[in-house]
Amino acid sequence: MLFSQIAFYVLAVIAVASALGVVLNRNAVYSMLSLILNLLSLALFFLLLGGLFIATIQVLIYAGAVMVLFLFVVTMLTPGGQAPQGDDPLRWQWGAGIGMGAILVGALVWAGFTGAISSDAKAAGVSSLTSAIAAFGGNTEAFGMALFHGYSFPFEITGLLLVVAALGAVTLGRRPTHADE
Amino acid sequence: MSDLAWFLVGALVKSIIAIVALLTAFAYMTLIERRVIARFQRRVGPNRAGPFGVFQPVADALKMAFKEEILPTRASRLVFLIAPAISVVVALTAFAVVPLGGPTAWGNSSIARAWAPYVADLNVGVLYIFAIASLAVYGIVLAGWSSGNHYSLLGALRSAAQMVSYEVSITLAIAGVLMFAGTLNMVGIVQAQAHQGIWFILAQPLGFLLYGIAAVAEVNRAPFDLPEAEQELVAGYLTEFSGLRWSLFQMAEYINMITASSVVVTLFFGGWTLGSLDGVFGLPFIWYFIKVAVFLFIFIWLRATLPRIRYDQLMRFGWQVLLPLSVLNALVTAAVVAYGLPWWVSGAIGLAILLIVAGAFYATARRSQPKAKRGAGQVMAAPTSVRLVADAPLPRSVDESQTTSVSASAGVK
Repeated sequence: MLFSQIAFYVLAVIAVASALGVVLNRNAVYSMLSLILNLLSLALFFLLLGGLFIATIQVLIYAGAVMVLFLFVVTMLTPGGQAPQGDDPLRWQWGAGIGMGAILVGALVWAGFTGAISSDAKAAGVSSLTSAIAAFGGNTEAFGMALFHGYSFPFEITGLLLVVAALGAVTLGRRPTHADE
Repeated sequence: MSDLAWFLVGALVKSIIAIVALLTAFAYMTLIERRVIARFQRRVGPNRAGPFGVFQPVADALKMAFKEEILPTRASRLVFLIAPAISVVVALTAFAVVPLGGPTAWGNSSIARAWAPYVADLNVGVLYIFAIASLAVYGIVLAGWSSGNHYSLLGALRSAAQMVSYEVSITLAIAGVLMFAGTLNMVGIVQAQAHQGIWFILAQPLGFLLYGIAAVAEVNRAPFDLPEAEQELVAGYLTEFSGLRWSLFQMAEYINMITASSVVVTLFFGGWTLGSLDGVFGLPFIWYFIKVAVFLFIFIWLRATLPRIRYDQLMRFGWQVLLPLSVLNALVTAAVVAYGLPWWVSGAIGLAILLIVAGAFYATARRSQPKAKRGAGQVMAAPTSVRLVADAPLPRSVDESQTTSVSASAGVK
């Protein structure tokens, strides 16, 4: 238990520091790098909880694919690594952000101390994960059984939604050809 | 010591061995590549340092270590320093789940199993490799961006676009193998091949070819080495790097090459398995290394043979040829597996698709060739500028106008 506790606290510090780095950096590329670090530490949190498959997917999809596209755009817009100079044009965002962050922290603390997230529920979650992994012979197998036997309809609907979104992006981004004129 | 402590010690020692072995393999791959390419080009290659040039990597390493490391004024200092490290760390990390032998390679006792020849035996092995490999693009993009140089940035962005495009095909291309094996575990995939009595290339010829092409593009090797196309981009993302930092990128490239070859052998060529000879001590390793070496040679062979393709060709090929074929292959394999058909059905369909596509390519290539150059009995001769001295002299019937037109027709697409 000790190992996972130490790992949790180390990861927690990294996750919070990198999350702060995302919002406090003035250079967009450094913000991006902080966000990647944050996503990687989230993947390690999944790993600590025993979700090997989810952790790998987190790295593959978010750190490996989504953030690469972000980086693609950001590096093109801010070549040479210069941070924008001058005053922040959106000062009011600071107040709004701090206010909403305080509300979130308050809600989490309230939930944690009043028992809305009980330790029983957490234990039940962990034991159901462990038993599912044991029943189906592995992390991937347990995930596949849950996805295709419990949630196959929502899964397919989500797939359709993503295809529609991709088609929409292609249609909007298409240059008019001679045939259209 | 407890089991956990033994496990940690084992993982640590095996990681160190893997890293040292990979770095040595990298050093000698550079020498082998230069020698082999020299043979392809009728040269001798580096042979001065030691017998057959075996000390050349040492000389190169010393030279690199003593070169000046230049930090461009416009560079973004921190990122510029860590970008090469990201590349190497990612390349080394991906190798962790590659099995060089079975869990019982050293015998069947529990201690022998703890020292099995792989660093980790993950349930999600194949996904892990692709997840880590997908991070490799950061090393290149950050290197290009932090150099503060437009050529570097352009090379890096090309690389990002190329790697993201081919990653899609690469994952779909191996989906067929995963369906046949029924597992993501690397050791499990090898054991599934031994169990079913076939190498998966027999059931997945199309998948193998698609994976092979996409893998060459993933590791940015010729003919897909667009990020460092020197006639357009100087040296791409490498332009501003020198000395040891430059060689770190080379290191990452060769290690990625070794990992890609190992993955091919594991997924399509039965890994270390030898059938009844599995029990002979050391023999499965040699068998495995021979197979990996063959694919490393093919990487070099491709580089020596094929010219670099154009950027728009690269993108069109990736999205309009490779991706649809990967989807088709996954669909065919899914049907074969779902209906419980024997493996040769998917193998035969894969070969048929391959023949049709190859025929279509051949037909378009032939049609785009000027008609007059296809006549029988035509003497094909290279123009004087590229003819080698050792070659036989030109036949008399070839005059100057013919030679130039032949060379011009080779350039027509």
